Amino acid sequence: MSAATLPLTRPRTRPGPLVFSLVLLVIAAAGSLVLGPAGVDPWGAILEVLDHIPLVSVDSGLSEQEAAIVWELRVPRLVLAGLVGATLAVSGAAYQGVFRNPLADPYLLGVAAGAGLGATAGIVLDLSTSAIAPLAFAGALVAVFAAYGLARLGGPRRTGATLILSGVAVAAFFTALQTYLQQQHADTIRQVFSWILGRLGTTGWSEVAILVPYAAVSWVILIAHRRHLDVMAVGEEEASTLGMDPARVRLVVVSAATLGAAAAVSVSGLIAFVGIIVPHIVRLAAGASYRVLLPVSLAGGAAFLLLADLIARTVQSGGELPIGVVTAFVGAPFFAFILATRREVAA
Amino acid sequence: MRKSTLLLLALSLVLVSCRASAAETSAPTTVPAPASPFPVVVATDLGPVTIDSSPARVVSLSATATEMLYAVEAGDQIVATDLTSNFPSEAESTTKIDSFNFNAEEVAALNPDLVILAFDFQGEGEALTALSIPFLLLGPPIDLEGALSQLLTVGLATGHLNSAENLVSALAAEVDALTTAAAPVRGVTFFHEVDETLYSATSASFIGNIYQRLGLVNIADGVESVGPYPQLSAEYIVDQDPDFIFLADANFGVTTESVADRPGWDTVAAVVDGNVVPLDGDIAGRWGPRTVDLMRGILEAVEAGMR
Repeated sequence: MSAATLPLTRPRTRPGPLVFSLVLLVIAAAGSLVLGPAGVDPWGAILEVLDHIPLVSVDSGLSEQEAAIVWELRVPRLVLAGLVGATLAVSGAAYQGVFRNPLADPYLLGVAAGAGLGATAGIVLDLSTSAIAPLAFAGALVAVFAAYGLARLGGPRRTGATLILSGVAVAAFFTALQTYLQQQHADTIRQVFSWILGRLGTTGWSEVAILVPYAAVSWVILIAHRRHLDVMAVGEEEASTLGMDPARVRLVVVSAATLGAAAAVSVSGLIAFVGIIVPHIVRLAAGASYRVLLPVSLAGGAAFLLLADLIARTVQSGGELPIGVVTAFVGAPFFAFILATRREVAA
Repeated sequence: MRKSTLLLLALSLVLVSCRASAAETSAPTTVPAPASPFPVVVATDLGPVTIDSSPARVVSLSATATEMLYAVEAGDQIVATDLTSNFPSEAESTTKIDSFNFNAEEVAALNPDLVILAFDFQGEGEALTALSIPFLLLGPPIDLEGALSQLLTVGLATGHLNSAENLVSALAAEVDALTTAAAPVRGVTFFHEVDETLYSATSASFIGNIYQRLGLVNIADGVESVGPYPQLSAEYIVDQDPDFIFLADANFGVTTESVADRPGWDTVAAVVDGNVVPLDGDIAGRWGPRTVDLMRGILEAVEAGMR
């Protein structure tokens, strides 16, 4: 299809990729629920979860401690991994669409640098863990807001490229501040690095509660703009001639994606790679239409991070690997494989 | 028997160095004046180092070395210590140097005749060598013997071998007494928390060696890990149900209450029985003369908790 002839009717999208990613998500969630160093009876773990569904009462047969392991540790961790993975993946897909740049990820406009500065400030000021998340969240939003403001200074003819460059400048500046703070307080360096590497290991229901409202708003807005993103993919001028305001769509989509990514980062630290790799895997497997890409990225991102976290907490029995290491170590070869095999098919 | 073993092990390294020093100096020169043991050869992490005369201007870039210097009565020779050297209180009033951002020029300006370091991460050794400043690299040992022999090394290098030997015998005697007294609490399990993200230390680490001497069972030893400082999963800790939790991160705002508030931790025996023990992170992170105080504190906490 050429750029000039947009379809007047919407071709029906195939449900296959979405169904596949949902099945993968269910398998990943089930695996995360029943596997772990504590060796809780798998059936008991499933019954324990069912027991927490309103109006359902079953006896899981687990001890008080095993029940706590399942409901206070495993379940919130798997829910959080799913929410963070889904949010980063769908935000990454939206960023790539709105900037028409395959290298865009949710951290493009300074979310990571801003959140890193906020978190480092909180750690250096010796604040409690619960105070660090809001600071990281605020830092992320301030950074992206600054990038937007900077791009506006350039005049009315601001494009996506101006915004990306503003983001680069803001991210560099915030990273410099963060590095300075970290260097001046070298005794807290381990905590700062732990945060930067990403963590799901010491999280609970309170982090889930922080993330849910922002993730939900972000998901709804992004999914609602899936057709706008399809039009934007053709080009900003073409989108304008079709009666769309690319700058407005960009503002709304970037705001929604940033809100979700900032909330995810503030509770889990910087988990690399999910926002960039999951949408590309989905594109290669299911096509580039945002009507498919966004929902499949949601489910696929959740499944991807659940599987990565399962590896992170089970590969060394009783120990943990940093989640960011696993996402890139497993994700990069997997992506390379998809890229290589798909190119053959395309050729 | 045990007492002499510990002391002898600690002394062995240093005595070898003394003999090397005697052999080296007796051949080319006349007999040195009996009042001065210098020159001496001391053992360091980078091999033997010769010190020609008693150092009068010592710079300590290690909080542990600072504690050792004062403990062997070499405090008067110190001209500067690093920012983390906060014990004894006299160390606070020396010139301060930021060892995390090592600057060889800053050190050279103090005109030191001996520098002691714990780490050589930023090319410190190379820079000091280039400036012909004698230095001792005394990094974290793997056990208590290693720490005691470092005390003797610091004493020998600064001309205070006698007081170092007296200190080490006293510390070794106390370690033996504590080990004997710990017999009733052998087998008690514990989790040693290095930081909030649940890094711990196995018995292969220096701090782990302290617990091991008391016969306590370290749950971090059950984790598959490449090094002695694994990151544990919360699920593993709750499942292991340790009798005691020791917080080496108490200086960073982690408290008995905040541990009890963690999801799922309220079922852990240590939390239920009120056996979450904050440690002084400064002592727990060093390997100086106060390590024995830490050992005593741990034993007393366990004894109190078992009552």
